[in-house]
This record gives sequence, C-alpha cells and structure tokens, in this order.
Amino acid sequence: MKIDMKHIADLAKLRLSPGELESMERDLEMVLAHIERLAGIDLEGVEPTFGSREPAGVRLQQDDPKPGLSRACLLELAPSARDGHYVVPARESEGGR
Amino acid sequence: MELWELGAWDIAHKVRAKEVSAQEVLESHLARISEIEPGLCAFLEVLEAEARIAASRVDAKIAGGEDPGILAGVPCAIKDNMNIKGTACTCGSKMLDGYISPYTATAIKRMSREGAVVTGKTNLDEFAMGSSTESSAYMVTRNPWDPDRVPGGSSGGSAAAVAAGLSTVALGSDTGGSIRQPASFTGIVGLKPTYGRVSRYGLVAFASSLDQIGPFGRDVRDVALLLEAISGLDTADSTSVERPVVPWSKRLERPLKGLRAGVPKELLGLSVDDGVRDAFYRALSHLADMGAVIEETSLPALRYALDAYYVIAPAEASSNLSRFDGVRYGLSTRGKALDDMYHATRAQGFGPEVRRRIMLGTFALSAGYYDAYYLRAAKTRTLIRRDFDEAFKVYDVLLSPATPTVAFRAGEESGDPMTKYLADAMTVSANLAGIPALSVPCGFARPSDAGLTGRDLPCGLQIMGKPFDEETVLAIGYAVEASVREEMEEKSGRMRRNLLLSKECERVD
Amino acid sequence: MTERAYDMTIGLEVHVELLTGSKMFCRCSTRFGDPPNTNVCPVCTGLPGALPVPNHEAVKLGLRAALGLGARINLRSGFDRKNYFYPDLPKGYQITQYRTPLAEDGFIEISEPPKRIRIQRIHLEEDTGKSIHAGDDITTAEYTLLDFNRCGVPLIEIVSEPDMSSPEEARQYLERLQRVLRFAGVSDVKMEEGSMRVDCNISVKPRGTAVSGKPVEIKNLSSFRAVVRALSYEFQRQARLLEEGKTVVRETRHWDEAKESTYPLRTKGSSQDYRYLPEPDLPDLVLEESFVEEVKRDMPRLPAEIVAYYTEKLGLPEYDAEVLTLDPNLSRFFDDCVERGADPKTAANWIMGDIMGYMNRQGLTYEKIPLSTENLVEMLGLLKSGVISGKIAKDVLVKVIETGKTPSEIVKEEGLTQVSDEGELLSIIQEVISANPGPVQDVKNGKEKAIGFLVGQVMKATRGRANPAKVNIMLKEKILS
Ligand SMILES: [Mg+2]
Ligand SMILES: [Zn+2]
Repeated sequence: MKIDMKHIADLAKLRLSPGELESMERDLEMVLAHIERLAGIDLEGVEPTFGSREPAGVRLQQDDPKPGLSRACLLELAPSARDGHYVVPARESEGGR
Repeated sequence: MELWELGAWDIAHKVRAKEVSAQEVLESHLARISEIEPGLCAFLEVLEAEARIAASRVDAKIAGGEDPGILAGVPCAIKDNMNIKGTACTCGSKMLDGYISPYTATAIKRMSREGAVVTGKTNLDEFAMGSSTESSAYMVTRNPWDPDRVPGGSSGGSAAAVAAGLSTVALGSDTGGSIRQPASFTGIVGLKPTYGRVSRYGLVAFASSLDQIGPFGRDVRDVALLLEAISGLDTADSTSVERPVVPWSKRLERPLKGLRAGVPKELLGLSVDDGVRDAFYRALSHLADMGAVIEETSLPALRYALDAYYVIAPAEASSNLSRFDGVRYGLSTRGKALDDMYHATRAQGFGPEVRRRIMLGTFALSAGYYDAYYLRAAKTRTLIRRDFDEAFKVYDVLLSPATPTVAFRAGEESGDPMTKYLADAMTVSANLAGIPALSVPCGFARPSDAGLTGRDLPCGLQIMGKPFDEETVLAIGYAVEASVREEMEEKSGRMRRNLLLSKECERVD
Repeated sequence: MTERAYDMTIGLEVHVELLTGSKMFCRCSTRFGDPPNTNVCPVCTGLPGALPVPNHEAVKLGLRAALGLGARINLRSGFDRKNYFYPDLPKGYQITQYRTPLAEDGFIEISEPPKRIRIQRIHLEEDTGKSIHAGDDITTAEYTLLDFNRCGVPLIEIVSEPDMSSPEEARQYLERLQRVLRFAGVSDVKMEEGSMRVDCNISVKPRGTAVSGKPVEIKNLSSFRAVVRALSYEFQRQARLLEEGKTVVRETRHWDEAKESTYPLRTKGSSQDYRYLPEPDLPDLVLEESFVEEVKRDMPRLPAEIVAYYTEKLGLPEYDAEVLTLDPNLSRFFDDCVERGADPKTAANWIMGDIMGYMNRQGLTYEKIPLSTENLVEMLGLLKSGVISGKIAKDVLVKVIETGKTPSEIVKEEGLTQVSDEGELLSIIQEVISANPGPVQDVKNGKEKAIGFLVGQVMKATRGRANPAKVNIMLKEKILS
C-alpha cells in the first residue's frame, strides 16, 4: 500500500524532512504489513468495542460553577502572553480551518 | 537491615507503632538515592524538600494521635507522566521541558492522604511509548541486575527504583504492558488493575481506553496495599467505576485447591525464550502442587491482539497528543505564521517513537482508512473480549509468561519497529479487555544473548483475572511468590547490597 | 442575468449556546464578559491529564430543545472527538456527538409559504475559545490573542435538511427556531452576542434540472439580515457562474459585512479530514426514560401552545396572539397582566400599541420591559373607572415608564384626574357654546357630527381631563333643551 506520507504528516502537524519522511514511510509500511492480518479476520456482525463496559452510561455533574485556576498561574506556563491573553502567530492568509 | 530494605507493609506498621519515624525512613532512602541514583538514572527529579515536608507531616499526625493512613511513611516514586501540583511533569519528552503542573492527579492525592511520601518522579519512555525507557528524551535508565540492560518500559524508572531499593513502592502506568513488562525485567511485582479501578485524572493520556495507573512493589503484599490506597470511584474521571475497595493486602492467603487456571496456547505459541519458558513451567508445577488445576486453553482472538493494539493505541494517542501545540504550555518554537509554529514545535518536541505512533494513528483514522484499520481493530477487540469472557466461565485466572524474554541489552536497534513491539505480545490483551493483570517474579533465566559468562536475570509470570477480581489475581501471585521466595530474596537482596554502578549515566538537561 | 431560471437549495447549521451556569465538561463559569482567561481550569484549557465530565443541565437543555423541535430522542447517544488544529481549540479536538446525536428528525413550520423545514439532527458539543486577531482582519493580522473563557461552553448544533428555497424562508426558519429555543429556556439565542451562530449551505442549479448543485458554505454571519444578504449574494454569484458556463467550487466562504460580499476562506489543497474518533474518555450518554419524562413535564409552554390559548381561551385575534408570542418575556408580561385582572384585549392593545411603540422608539429589547405589570394594570383600572381619560392615559404611561412612579402618584401629582364634576364642566361648556355659535347651530339643525367638534373644544380647554362621555351628554342637553 502506498501511504500519502506528506498528507498524513500535514494532518498531524509534523513537518518532517524528506529523509525523515522516507524512513518514517519504511517504518509504517513494516508495521502495516503486520497489521494487515486484521483484514483477514471474519468480523461479520461484530460490534466494535471503543471503551470499557462499566460504567454503562456516563455520569453527569451538577451545573454549579466552581473556581478553576487563576489566570496568573496558567499564563505563567504560556510560551507567550499579553494583556491576560495567550499569544500565537497569526495564520497565513491561505491557511484556516 | 537498613530501613530502605524494608517493604511498605513493614514500614507502615513500624511507623504507626512509632518504632521508627517517617523522617528516618525517608532519610535512609534519600541517602540510598544519592549513592545509587547517579549510576542508575531512575529519577528525573528527586523531590527531597517536598518529601521531607510530607514525612514530617506523617510524624506530626502520629504525634497528634491522628490516623496517618495505611501507607504511613512509605516512600513512593511516581512515573513522570502523572501530575503533582508545583512540580515538573515531563513525560520524558522535550515537549514538556520546563512545564510545572498546576494540579495533582487523583491517585497521588489518595496515596498521600494514606501517608505515602512521594520521593520523586521517575524516568519513562517518551509519553509512555516504549518497552525499554530508552525513548526518554532525558536519559537511559539502567537495569540494576545488569547495567548494560534496559529495565523495561515504559515505567522503567519506577521499576528500577523499586528493584534497586531507592523507593519502597512506586506508581507506573500500563497501556499495553508498561507496568508488567518492567516489573518482569527487574524482578519485582507490578499490577495493572482493572480498567476504571484507579482514576486516570491527572495521568497524561497515551491511549485513554487502555491506560491504567498501577502499583509496583518488591512483594505482592506491598502491591496490594498500594492498590488499596489508590483505588475507588473518582467522579473527575468518567471512566472510573464505583466498586468497593477491598482490603486486598489482608486477603492474600487462600488455599489453591480447586482453583482453575488456563494457559492460553496463543501466548505460548509466541517466540518465548527457552529460559523464560522453563521458569514459567516450574511456577506452574508449583501451583499444581498447591492444588490448582492448570490446563492449556485457547483464546483464538489473542493472535490478533498485538495488531489491534498497534492500531487502537496509536489512533487514540494521535488525538491525545494533539494538545501539544505550542500554544498554552511546554515547548513552543515560533515561526512567522501559525502553521510554522505547529509544525516546528511538534517536530522538535516529539522524539522518533512518538512521531511514529502519531503518524500511524493519524493514518489509521484518516479518511478512507478508518474502516479498514481503526474500526476493524475495534471489532477485533470485541472478539478478544469475548474470548476472555468465555475463558473466565471456565477458569479463575489465565497464566502466561509476563514477557517473551528477560531484559534485553540497551541500544539494540532492529530495522523493523514491529520487532520491538513484540515485547508487548503477552501483555496487550489485558489492556484491550480491560482486565486486571499482575506480573510476579517466578524465577530466573539465562538471557539468550548472554554467552557463557552471563548471569541469570529475573523473569515474571503474568496472572490475568476476571474484571474487578484483583483479589484472586493477587492471591495467586502471592502463591507464586511463596514458591520462589527464598531464591528471590537471596538473589535480589544480594543484588541490592552489592549494587555498585560505577559509570554515571548521561543526562540531558 | 436570468436569475429566475435558477433554483437554490439552502440548509442551515445553527450553533446555540446553552443557558447553563458552568461549562459542558468542567465546572468553570460560563459568564459572558468576564476578563479574559479568568473562567478556566485544567479541563477547558486542555492541560495534560485533565478529563471531561458532562454537565447535567446541558443535557437537560439539549433535551428541551429537541422536544421543542419535535425531534426523536436517542436514549443512547455518545461523544466523539473531532480532530483539528486551531489555537482556540486547546485539546486539538472538539468533543461533539458524531455517530449518534442526542436527537434526530425534528422540524420547524414556517408560514410563508406554509412549509415544514425538517431538522436532521440535534447534538451536544463544546464551544471553542475566542481568537482576537491583532490587525485589520484575519488576512493581515500578525498575531492572535486567545481567551478561553468561552472555551467549553455547552452548545447544541441544530442541522436542518436542505429544505429552504429562498433567503426569506431561511430567515423565517431562523426566527421560528429562535423563538422556540427562547420559550423553551434553552438559550438566549442572540446572534449579536454569538449565543446563536449560523452557517449556511447553499447550492444553485438551473430550474427544472435534476442535477444538484455543489454546496457552498457561508460563515461569519452575525445577524438575520446578514444571512439574507449573504444568501442572496451567493445565489446571484453562483447563478452568474452557471450562466457563464463555469462551475461552482465546493468551498467555505466568509461573509464580509462591510463589502456585502463573500470571499473564499480555504483554498489549500488538503481538504479537511476531522478523523472522528469515539471519545474514549466518556462512556455513552444513556438517558433514563424517566429523565426524559421529567424534562417533558417541566417543559415551558411553547409559542404554538400559547397562541392557541390566547385565541381560544382569551378570545384574542390571531394577529395579537402571534405578536404577544414574539418573545417569552412579552407573553409572560401579558399573562401577568391578565392574571392581575386586566381585560385581555385591552391589555393586548396597550402592550402592542403604546408599550411596544415606546420600546421601538427607544430601541429596547424584550429582555427588559420598561414598566411593571402592576403599574400597567393599575393604569388600566384608572382608565376603566373613569379617573383618567384615554388620552391622559397615554401620557401617564410614558411618565410611569420614565419616572418609575405609580400611575396614581403621577395622576395625583400632576392633577390629571378626569373632570367629571358637573359644576366645573358646566362653566367650561358655557364658554365653548358662546365661543362657537356656528357649530352650535349645526347641532340644533340635527347635524350630529358637529357635537364631536364641540366635545373636542371642551377637551382642549381641560387639557384632556374632561370625561368625554359626560361632556357629550351635557352639551346635547344644553343645546337641545
Ligand atoms: Mg459543530
Ligand atoms: Zn474549565
């Protein structure tokens, strides 16, 4: 199988050099070669399991505001902050969601 | 006997009985750490000052007639992927270099409330991804049995610290074997509890549906005791379950007569080293001697466990690790535009193994591949779970070697990442099924690469149990332990007393 | 331009902030307008190791919305992660409901033309933080400031089927939707404040052809007016492209309010791939039948039900009933007046006339009606018992609103009591008769209309305080006897 490495790296926001992409591709292909066995299993009518069976339904919490963390405490961790805000570089014009 | 040689059970009793103070116990450990740690590299950070405060608090409680808790004065090391307010939490990654956590994980809060004294944060594979602790961005932890070998991983720092007597007990996390495998490699006991038994709140997620915090100790009773302290419902973790916390440490002695244990042939069919296999069979015959009925059985879907695991875990990880984006904390490499920052930060912050898994997981979830990979893996997980359900209708526990080999040499690189992933072959299915699994030392085996002069290394037996039946799992573990107690105590005691690690390890700051 | 030869198909995705006190997955306050980054915690800023726990009230409000929109509730639904990188999305994914939404198959009825717009799904999710772009606009900003106060505020997303075929229908759909959600107490649904956000999907095709056009998504719409304008603009733009034999590109476009046009937002080759993943941190959302029943029981009355009550039980005309149910505050105000004994039609007239007129002139919203029902009812009483005249009442109403005093206080202070005293009226009537011999003669000649002019003169002389009915009788007596 041919993986579009550039596209996957883009989705994961991992800028890899051409050399890194190449060795990464080799690694992934070796792993996928093993995993390919999954394709041979008869899974007709089998429901997927995504998590545990217990608790059967999620617990809900009270709608009752509580103080969280102080702004100072959080912004101290921030690589860049200004006027009570986090700061990031603007996106390029052709970027976007 | 030095205080650092005592187990948690003994320390807690002596401290509560005022035979010894928590501070004396701690100082003995701190001295041991300063002697051994430079050559062992188990700790990313030793929290000396904080530990002294915690120990004096325990002593003050006792002096004031208050109940100091079931772990009174017991030194405990914490894998560095759990948050403790006011201290660093690196996850062994450059990504979190300099990050100071503003909150504390539930399991650690509970343990501290029971009187445990947190002595430091231990080394791990980056973001808990690995089986050797070599993928840590900071240093390579040594195996105290043989400094040229790895302690296993990803909780290698915690395992090495306990095995070498730097900490009485420790917490690790287990996503695919990251507690059981290093326990096996370092000759100690490690438990992955039932999924949901211990709160994950404050544990930095690797694969949320598989991760579970669990205890390390030098014997089964200590592991049971630590489990008692950290278990129980936590409403901050939606996957935490409401189940009674059992006084496991007091329910270890149980007659094995009539107990039924199955040995899945799919696990033994894997390439298990002869020495490991021998030790495993010796343990089985001990159990049979004690009255257990042991049979070979088949769980066909286990053949695919590793494949399902290496889709599901990376898929969840790729999503969990998206938050490391250089915006709010941790490493941030700024470029002129937003996208440059994302790419540069993540390419620099994540090491090769983490990148590999992020790429694999991103691929497995991406448009056009979800059904073929992620969904198929999730369905295969159902088959694995069904096989366990069926097996547990017949057997009380399932047994296997904890690892296919004993500790391997550091720096061994094979071209195929899957070779490395095979180290998890025995352990991943318990995570996929969410069941409890214990690794307990069952003897020693000669490494296949040891040559003539090589020494024997410990190996572990894995006991997998029904969901929430830690009680049976621990009781069988206790019986296995009893069968090798003399040999274990003699050899590991000697290992610790003679431990002299000349070379200082390289640390990256 | 032959616009008429093309049809448009419109579908709307509406995000609505729920009226909860705390956020969707943590306990931080949802308060609007607090200083930046003051309602934040490890969960909503995505610190490593933090975990989500859903908000009970958010689920309840989501259910209310679903019930109000006639949707089928899924007793078992679940949460999923929508993965994408954006600085206002701290975890790198949004927790939403993808595989199974909270509810499906609802609808909204619009009236012109009468039509049922189907709602495909209603699901719960969390809001993102707020980005403030430093610079003229998104495209020239050098850096972005981030505030996570809004991050994690509970949302419902309401996705319609592409059942609308004009901007006007879209507007009606949105108005009706807004009204239902307001009455259900689900949200304050304000587009200006961002508690209601609308994304439009529009596709255009030549009339009569079966080929469906490629949908274009329009974002950044901050008012109903903008929705209508943007859809009209897009229709023309796409129709023109088709007319010229060009193809419409499937894309997301931004509405530029100032330029009254749309521009493409995303042209990069790599299309979006959200890599949805069942949220492993959250078990399924399983609802007890009894919980749904409880929500049904506590459901506030919705506009349709209230309109029926007003017309059938209170005898109001359909039109009045519709106006009074434009807003829950307005209808509550009316209900309160009726409960305090006011005649429904009189109260309706005053509310729809003078009060709404005043509010319109002052640019007030229904959120705060500027007088109390006590005062309105008291004034209606003074009017009914003849203490004040209708004309005076209009002035009194304005003064009550502006001073906050009670109607009786104002009537007393300003001496506005209606003059019904015969002695006092008689002398004024005498004066009017002597000053207007012509009209008096007309009355004598049987011209009934002339009496009105004379009554008006008396009212003028008393500055409106005279009781017009009484004046009428007295004038006739005086002139004809
Ligand atoms: Mg949405
Ligand atoms: Zn929060």
